[in-house]
Amino acid sequence: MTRSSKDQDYSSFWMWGDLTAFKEIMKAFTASLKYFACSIVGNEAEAEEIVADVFIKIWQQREHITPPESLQYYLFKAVKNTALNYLKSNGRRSAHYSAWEIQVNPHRSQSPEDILISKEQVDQIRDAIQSLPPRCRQIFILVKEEGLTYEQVAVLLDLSKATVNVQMTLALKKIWAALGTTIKYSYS
Amino acid sequence: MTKRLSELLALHWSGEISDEEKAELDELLLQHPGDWLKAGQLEQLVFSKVTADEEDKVNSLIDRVSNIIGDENRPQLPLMPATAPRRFRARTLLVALLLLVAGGGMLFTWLYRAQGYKIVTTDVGMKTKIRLADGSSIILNAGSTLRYPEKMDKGIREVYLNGEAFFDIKHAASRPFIIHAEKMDVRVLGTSFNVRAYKEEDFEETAVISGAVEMVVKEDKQVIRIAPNEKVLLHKNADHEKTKTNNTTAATGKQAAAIERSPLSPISAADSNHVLETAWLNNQLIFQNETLSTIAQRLERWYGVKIVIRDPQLAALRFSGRADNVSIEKLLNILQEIQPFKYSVQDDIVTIN
Repeated sequence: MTRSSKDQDYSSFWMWGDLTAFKEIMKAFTASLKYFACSIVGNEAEAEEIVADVFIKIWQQREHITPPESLQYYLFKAVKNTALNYLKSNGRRSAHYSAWEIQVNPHRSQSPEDILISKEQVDQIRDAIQSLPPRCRQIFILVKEEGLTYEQVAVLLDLSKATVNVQMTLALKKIWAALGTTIKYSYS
Repeated sequence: MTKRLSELLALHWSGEISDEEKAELDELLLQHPGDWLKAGQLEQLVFSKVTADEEDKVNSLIDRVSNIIGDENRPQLPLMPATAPRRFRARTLLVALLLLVAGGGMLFTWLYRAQGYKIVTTDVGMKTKIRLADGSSIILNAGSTLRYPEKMDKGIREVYLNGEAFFDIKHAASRPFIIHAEKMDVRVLGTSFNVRAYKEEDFEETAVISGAVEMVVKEDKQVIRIAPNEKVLLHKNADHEKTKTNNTTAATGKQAAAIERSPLSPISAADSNHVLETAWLNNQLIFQNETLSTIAQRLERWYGVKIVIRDPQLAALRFSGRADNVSIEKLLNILQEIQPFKYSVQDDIVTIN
């Protein structure tokens, strides 16, 4: 099973404090982390502040941080902690905000065996995803787009692994239904 | 779609499916061709957050962070090794080595080839210097073995060590240098540092003089970064304690016990260039609060003798002190003055009681 995990080898950053490598890391993760921070604090400007804070802190502490096994997961956790501290110092509660829209596209590299997905199907799937509860949609993004494991998502969102499983099954059922019941041309 | 099918598909879709569940899913899909085709479509879908002006925002955030950290960055980059004191040290060592070679009848180094490897072994009481093709040099302490490929691989430089050695590795960013010891691997790109990994000792240690070094604990793949003037000690019997205290101690406590990080120990307050960890390079034998039994292990290697301690209470006595190029009798006499004990020497066997 392929995961879309963005974890690569960033060892040159950890070993040599390579700024170029660090910029690569920021490029790869900023958008995802911002989205995640936003789901906690509820607005984009603060989310950006939090992500910048996390990067600055990691840079400053790089000599003392044990290189994590999954940098991606490490960053998500750092964003979560920073965001929660931020809320706490402002006397606010988590916002559970996730207004992002999700895009659906068929694979770019269509192979001959692939069964065509019609434009209608894509539209229906998009509608199906938009109709998912916000929490479910967020889990969906963390698993399907970020490639995080159920376990990691459970820790990040303070849920049980079973809940993550239930929510993913729910998302799958909706999309399954949106795919329709018949595939006419496949037998012709 | 059955409940079970949706469960299994969701697991598969999320990359969480086990081998048994995958087999069950395949079986189910085989029975329902319609579902099988839809499952194929599902695989083709790619999801992403809608990101309109996101790229600009990401770039401006990166620029902002880079500006803040950039000021601090400049003096940080080139970590120049302290060359002057080291050159001096290398010269004294060379003299010492020449003296040893000239005067030593019982001392020898041997070198043989096996399966494309060179193996250098130092006997007790001696050291040797090895030069590698890339310009790196390794000084092997007494009672140690270094194995390295006759022709170093282009991508990676790897050696195997049992014992103690001082490494001065030529920097090559694209060719990491890896030292394999029993319980740890030490990874560097270029720097100078001391590795101590004797089979008979209950710890392995990496002490860094300059540059940055990574130590990988083999057992749990933990990566530990070591900064200049720092050393990390890995206790081998940690497994031991782990199984013993497994039910009572928290996991974090155990890890801390197995790995010990500390600064290098200067030999004297006045001289910060010479540290205990590399004193052996200058033929200095230095003990800092070590038990007689650990000192005996070092003396055995240093002088090429066998030391037997009859009294366990004596073995646990602790000593601190320093000896530069003295005979073993002289050294034992000095220790006697610190803590009284009796010893006798017969051939190459020293008995302490």
